[in-house]
Amino acid sequence: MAILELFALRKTFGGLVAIDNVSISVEEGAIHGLIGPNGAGKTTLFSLITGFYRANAGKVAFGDTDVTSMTTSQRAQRGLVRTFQANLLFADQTVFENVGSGSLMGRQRHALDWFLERAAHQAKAAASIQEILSFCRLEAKAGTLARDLSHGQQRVLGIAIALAARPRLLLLDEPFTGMTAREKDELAEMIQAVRARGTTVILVEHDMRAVMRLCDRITVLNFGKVLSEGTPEQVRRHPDVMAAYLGAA
Amino acid sequence: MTSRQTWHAIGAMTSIAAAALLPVVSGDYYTSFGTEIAIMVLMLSSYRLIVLTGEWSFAHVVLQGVGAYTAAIAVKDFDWPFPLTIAAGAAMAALMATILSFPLLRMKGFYFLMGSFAAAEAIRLLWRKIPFFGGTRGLSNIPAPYLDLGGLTIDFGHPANFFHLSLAVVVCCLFLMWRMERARIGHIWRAIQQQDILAQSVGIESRTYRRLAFVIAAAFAGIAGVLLAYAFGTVTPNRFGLNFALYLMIWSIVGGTRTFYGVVLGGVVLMIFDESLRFAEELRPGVYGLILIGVMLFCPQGLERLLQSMARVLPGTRSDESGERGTLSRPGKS
Amino acid sequence: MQMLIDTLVNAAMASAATALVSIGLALIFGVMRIENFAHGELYMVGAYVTWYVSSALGLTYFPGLVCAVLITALLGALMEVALFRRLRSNPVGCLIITVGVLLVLQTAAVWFGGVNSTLLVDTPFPGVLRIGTLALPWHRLFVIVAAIILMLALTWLLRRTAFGWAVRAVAQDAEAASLQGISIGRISILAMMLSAGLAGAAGAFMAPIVRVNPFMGQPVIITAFIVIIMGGIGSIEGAIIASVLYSTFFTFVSTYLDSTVATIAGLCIMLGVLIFMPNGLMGKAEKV
Repeated sequence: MAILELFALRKTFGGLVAIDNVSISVEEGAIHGLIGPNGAGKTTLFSLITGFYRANAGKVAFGDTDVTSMTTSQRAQRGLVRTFQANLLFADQTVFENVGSGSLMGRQRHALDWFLERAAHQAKAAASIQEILSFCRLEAKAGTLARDLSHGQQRVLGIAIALAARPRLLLLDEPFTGMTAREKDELAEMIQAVRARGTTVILVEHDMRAVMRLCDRITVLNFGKVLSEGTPEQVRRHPDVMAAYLGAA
Repeated sequence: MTSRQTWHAIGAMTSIAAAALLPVVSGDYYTSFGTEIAIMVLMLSSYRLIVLTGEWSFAHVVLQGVGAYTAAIAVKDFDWPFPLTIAAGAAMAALMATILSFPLLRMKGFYFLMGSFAAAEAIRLLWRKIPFFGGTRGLSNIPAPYLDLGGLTIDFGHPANFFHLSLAVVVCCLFLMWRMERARIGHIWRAIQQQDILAQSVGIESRTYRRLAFVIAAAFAGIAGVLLAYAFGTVTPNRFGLNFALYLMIWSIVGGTRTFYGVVLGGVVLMIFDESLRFAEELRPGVYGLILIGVMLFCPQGLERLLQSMARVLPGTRSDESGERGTLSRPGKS
Repeated sequence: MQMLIDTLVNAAMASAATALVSIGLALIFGVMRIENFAHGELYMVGAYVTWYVSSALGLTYFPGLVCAVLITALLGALMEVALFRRLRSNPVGCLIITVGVLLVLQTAAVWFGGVNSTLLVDTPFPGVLRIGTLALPWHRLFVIVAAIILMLALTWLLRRTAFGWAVRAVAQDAEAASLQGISIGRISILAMMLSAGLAGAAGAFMAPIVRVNPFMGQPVIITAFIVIIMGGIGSIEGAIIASVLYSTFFTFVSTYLDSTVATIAGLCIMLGVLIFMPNGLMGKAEKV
């Protein structure tokens, strides 16, 4: 079943066509890669999917709901969550608090919890935050301020915050950037573990090794259009794709 | 409770107890002044709720005015009892805030400040113009509350009685605000203020929560307005003008908006300082201006920062509770 | 008919004075990204200096005008060097500090001349110009003409000189400008001086017409903010156009109805602009 479907999406900025007639279908439970040369429109597409931009034409369907006219937070409440290339964090909060902030809108809460805190509820919330922290291997850093983490740890924290929002579909915006080789391996394992837990993942990334290794399917963008789509093997061999990358170099 | 929280609780209860003793140690004049301070503390704490979401507003004093005028009319024309006027004042102010929030919350930062000023001042000028609200002279001769319950009668016109009544109301409101801040909604407000976009990406609809802060803050301002109406017996439009809005902002900043007690501290200290300048009434704004300049240049986090440095000496304090820092965020251009 | 002419002349004069003040505000915002709440008080200082030099010291109006401009310009430079420069990293702090300056200047004026002062300044252009049955007060005409001259001079300055080019460069992109060798500090001081001087000049122009009192700057700053929001924050052309539109509207409503109604209407206009057209008349708000 397709968890995300884009139908003929189009986005223009003034006279510039950033996304042109893009249609993509992402299978539930897949790790789907989105690649393309610089300026191909990957980040714009991300913003269209998550609602930071409104499309000029076309439709975005999430699950069986048309979310095209929904705001970012409305989409996130339905389980469509992203991370940020610029790695936004609550810099002055601890790792524990950061993840806690991600879970603020989470599952059902007792109406009173909005205004008063109750001990039992707090304990439950703390438990689920701990669970995410150990999943992301950040439990040792739980009390550290976000700004005091290393770059790689901060990127992982960004993902942890997104996970705290209980996504059905997680969009990762260049998560491997600036990481050491070991951190990349750990991250790749984590992404596969996320998928194993039932979350679909869409990955925008420049690191070709990571993309080829992780993704089940890949969509290649160029000049705002879909250039090619298929398994990593198919895409790798596609002559247009090679030309795009070599040509753009 | 952690020992830090214990210290806070002790501090709070001591302050309240000390405050309650005010009428015992001083005469009517200073007791009435105490009432004014209590009302101002309520205004400052409720103002802070808006600041917590990252915005500064000039509409807050006018919303207090809504509460005040509501009380004046309810008591004079309809003879409503105290609890009912408090509820009415809060409700009217909240209603006005809800209406205003629809146009205003589309703006941010400096634009929101200007928009809130424009809307509020327009309302205030309408009070000045429309005879129903008493025009420039406002409404006066508002009778004090009077409790007649079984065998118990209390005339709240007496300054000491009204002071205790106000203190009780204000402490209840402060307690509610304090609890809110520590609960889910407080966390959401802080998330919006620190990283609005990140908050949205995890499902927080920032406009809804900004609206909630604005309306809740207004309700408390309305209550402060009701207390004001009873305390002074008169409600005039000039009491809610730009000057008071500026003072509210100044006192919040000097006190510091990071912690809950910062604004309380700032309000109390500055009002006492204000009172001591009574002999030089005309120079007061200038002194405030200098204080403001001094604080911004040398101590931009406010008095609470000074208090915290002192508090580090106390046993059992550890570094900070959740994410409150630099609440002086940039008023972004929309 | 006379009332209509009077109102038109007053509207033109109000537009002129408002334009001078608003341009200064737009300039500071464009160059330094600071909303200067004390700007109205600079106008007030200009009026006070004019009074002091021309009436108290007994010199005539024009030396008063010159001194007003010089002193307000110096005040502007002082604000930049002593205050704004130290708060480059804290824009909200700058805004707050201008409120502090506002209060200090107001109180200084109170201390200087008393709260209920009715200080009078004599105009060098008494009397009226008679055209047929119409009477046009000379001083108001002077204000209109002088303001236009100043605005033309400013336009020349900004478009034809190296200084003006530097100012516009900083307004557009301060970092790029400094990489090109433009001294942000120097431009900031000069921009502040220019802006403050314009406000001081406006105060001097209006001194013979309005009551010189410590709070005369308050309505002026409110009008100025309404105008620059209407015109588009940071845009000088916008400020000029909006000044004319708004002042004309306000003067007519004030005269034929009521000044309170005019103020309420003006505030509603500002609110309307903020809701529907937040970038104002001149669109993108980053221009000088």
